[in-house]
Amino acid sequence: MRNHTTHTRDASLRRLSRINRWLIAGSIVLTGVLADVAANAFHGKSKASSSSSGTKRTSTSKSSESGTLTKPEQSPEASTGSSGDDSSSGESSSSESSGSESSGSESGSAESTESTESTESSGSSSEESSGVVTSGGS
Amino acid sequence: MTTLLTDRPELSAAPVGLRWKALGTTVVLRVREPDALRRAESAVRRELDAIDRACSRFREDSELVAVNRRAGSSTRVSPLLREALREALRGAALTDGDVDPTIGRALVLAGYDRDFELLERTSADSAGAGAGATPPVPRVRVRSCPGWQAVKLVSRTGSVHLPAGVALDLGSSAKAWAADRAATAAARDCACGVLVGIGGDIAAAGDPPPGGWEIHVTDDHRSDLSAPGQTITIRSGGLATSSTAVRRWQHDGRAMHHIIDPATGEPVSNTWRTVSVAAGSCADANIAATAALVRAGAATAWLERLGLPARLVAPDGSVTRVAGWPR
Repeated sequence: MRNHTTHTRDASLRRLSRINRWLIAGSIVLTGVLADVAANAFHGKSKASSSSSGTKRTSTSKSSESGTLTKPEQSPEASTGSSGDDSSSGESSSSESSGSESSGSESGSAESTESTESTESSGSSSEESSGVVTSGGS
Repeated sequence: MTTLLTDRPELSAAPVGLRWKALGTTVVLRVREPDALRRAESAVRRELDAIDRACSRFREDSELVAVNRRAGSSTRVSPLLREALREALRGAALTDGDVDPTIGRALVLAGYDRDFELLERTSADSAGAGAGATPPVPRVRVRSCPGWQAVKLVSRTGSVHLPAGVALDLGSSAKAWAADRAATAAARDCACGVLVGIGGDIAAAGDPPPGGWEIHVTDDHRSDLSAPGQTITIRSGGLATSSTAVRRWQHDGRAMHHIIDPATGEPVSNTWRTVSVAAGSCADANIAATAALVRAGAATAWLERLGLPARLVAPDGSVTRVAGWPR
């Protein structure tokens, strides 16, 4: 009878120990699964705040600040044969301001510029008479 | 075939060029070798046709329209659209969501629900309809974008999943990405230097002309060379300009434009009128230029930190240059 009680107790303890181990393992897995579900359930947000010089954006994440937007192999150069550059529209002397140079002004806006697109027909190509390509908003 | 005019002796091996319309905007092509022009044109057209079929928001038969229609479920897409989406999501990740492809719904709510030529015409018609006419457009309902993280690309199945109510717009990234792809394809096919511009987003591939490719930077890519701006040269990579001065329309009495702040769903503030950026690729230049308009006052420090040469024009016309942009 005594032997039987000891065996029973030991067996119960082993069973409890096994159950505990499974419970711990299970709770760890469940925590991981719930964390993954929660991470995918809500997307992050950028936080905007205002400053006196306009809307200034600050970010809640630093992930993009690693700067993987690639720099050009060579910086653009001023064209020696340029037309319509800033100097022709009244450039003033430059001044340094927070790592950037601010100078010059240009008058006019897109509303006042002349369109050259009216001669194009959709699909068919027309030959160009100027080597200079225009980069502007579209 | 026309040899382009230039008074610059270093550009004596003058490039030649073509211009046509595609992707709802103007495509310009320059090649160094006159004999290669038509071959380059074929390569560019092939690329753009494929991209238009995959990525257009205004073609009923495009893959993107099908994906947007099936928002709330997964849709299998072609490798080309998957790559375009990956590029758009990369831009969103690199800018903390300032350039976000999920602005499609916000653009529709802002009234940009058709090809821009049609939108311009509608806007002009309603403006000329007189004071007594009933405005044909609904009231603007602005709402912030759901966020690019809501888009799931599943490589294993080749499918994309959009949550219900989300619509994608790849207009911001696809044109610049298309310029990179088209320039690379054309340079490979004709084995010479090529420049491709799509709506003012410009990509160079292959050997440039001796003096570089000449580019006039201004508000509107349709402008002629007398428009206020600056003429510069690039030798490789890309140059992109984003502007709030173009693609403007009236919606329920409000002036709207196409650069949307994903955080608010509204057109961005007026800190900058036009931003031009040079980068290693046209896609990267476009991401930076568009994000700069959204980041407003914080843009100059951000561009400087990234080392991306940029030219920012304020609404009053004053010009700010950063990271080595030439004078």
